[in-house]
Amino acid sequence: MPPAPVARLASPAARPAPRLLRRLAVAAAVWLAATALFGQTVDRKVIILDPGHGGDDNGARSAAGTFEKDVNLMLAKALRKELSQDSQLQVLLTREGDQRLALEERAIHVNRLRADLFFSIHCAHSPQESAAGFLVYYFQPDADQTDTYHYLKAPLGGRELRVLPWNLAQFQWVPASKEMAGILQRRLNEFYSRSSGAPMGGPLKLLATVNCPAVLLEAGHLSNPADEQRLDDAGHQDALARVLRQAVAEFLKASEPIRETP
Amino acid sequence: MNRKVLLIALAVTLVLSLAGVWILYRQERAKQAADRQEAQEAAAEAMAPAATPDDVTQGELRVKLYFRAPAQSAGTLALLTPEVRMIPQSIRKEYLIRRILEALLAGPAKGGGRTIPKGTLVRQVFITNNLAVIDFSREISVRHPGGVLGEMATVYSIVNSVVDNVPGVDGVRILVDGSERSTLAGHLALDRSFGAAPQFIAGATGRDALIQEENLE
Ligand SMILES: [Zn+2]
Repeated sequence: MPPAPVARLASPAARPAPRLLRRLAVAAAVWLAATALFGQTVDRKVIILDPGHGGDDNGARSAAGTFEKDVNLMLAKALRKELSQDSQLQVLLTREGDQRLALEERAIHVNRLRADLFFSIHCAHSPQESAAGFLVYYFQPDADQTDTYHYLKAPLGGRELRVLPWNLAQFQWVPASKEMAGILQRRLNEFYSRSSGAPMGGPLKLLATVNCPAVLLEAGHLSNPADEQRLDDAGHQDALARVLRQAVAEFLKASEPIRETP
Repeated sequence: MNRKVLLIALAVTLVLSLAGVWILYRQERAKQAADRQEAQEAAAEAMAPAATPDDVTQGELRVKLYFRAPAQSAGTLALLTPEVRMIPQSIRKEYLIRRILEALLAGPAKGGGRTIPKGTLVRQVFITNNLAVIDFSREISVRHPGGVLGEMATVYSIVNSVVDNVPGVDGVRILVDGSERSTLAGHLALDRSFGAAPQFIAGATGRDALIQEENLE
């Protein structure tokens, strides 16, 4: 922005000096504040954290009665606290309390805000109590689902249009999402001293509808008592949030998001 | 007449008439409940997949059913484990599919875990071209324990068990309570058709491995 307001304010030189100085100071302050704020909002990356389930949808349930929806929300809030320390990030939650939110509503929120990263937080559940640990997912279409564009025939012999259905918006972000999933997996493998494991691609409904890089983390197994205890522990939540913050930072730094040309 | 006697008579009459009304009310309620139950039973009968004359069986068929693999470690793809069973061979594919699903619903006999929640019913099965459309009762969703892998195990145990054993069927579409659903239990997209996914079977690296195994036997 040009320094026009300052020049205009400075021009009536006949005014008494103290008043002019005061006005100049105010103008300068406003100018500085405006540029600082404006500059920051332009560069700030929007990260949307999505605590899974909520309301009458409890998600998975541990033997002791812990609901997945509650653990998801605690973890999302811990991660927001961590990420918010970075002034370059704008961090939002899809839900702040215990309310039901349709998957489509979550996607609407993310796509309207043109988020830079969508991070859905869940817990796993297995019929086998011994199954433990985290799982990282990204959206992956089936091999037979690649030709997914809709062809719309315009009436009266108009031009044929190629349209990607809104609920498959993720198609063009698969490489970026896969990269984020890989970073997340590696960081968490280090954190939990795990030597193996890879992110899983699958037909996840919510991720399919999200129009930006997107991952889903199941932070641990609620069906495993040791995992449950960890997930419920505030100290562990904070430690985990720090690792997740590093993964987010690494992803944002590594790439101008890789976008597959449709 | 004594006022006291009159009052007592009035009170007794009141109590008696109230009791009468109460008894009539209870009788009516009981009758309504019986009617309702009768209607429900009639509806269930109309819906029931009981063996009908067109369900002709011919000998037995060896099928491979896929249940939840035991001791599945996090992060591996080996979600399902096969179990071989003999079931009556229905001539019509719809009945064959129903028998396979009922065997899945009954749960595994040789280790592993069930993949379809207890109490789930197969409401209807039909085939369009090479796609089997299966309508389950709502228990498949509302009683699902949750988790992405659990949902994958449910869907792919159904899909693999049907596609592997029913010739001419290449895909499966799952409906719940007669409707299309966007997910099974909040994670996995159900608004689409599924093809077999041999990568989720323990000990198999793909469909080819399955076929090879078949040939060796
Ligand atoms: Zn969940």
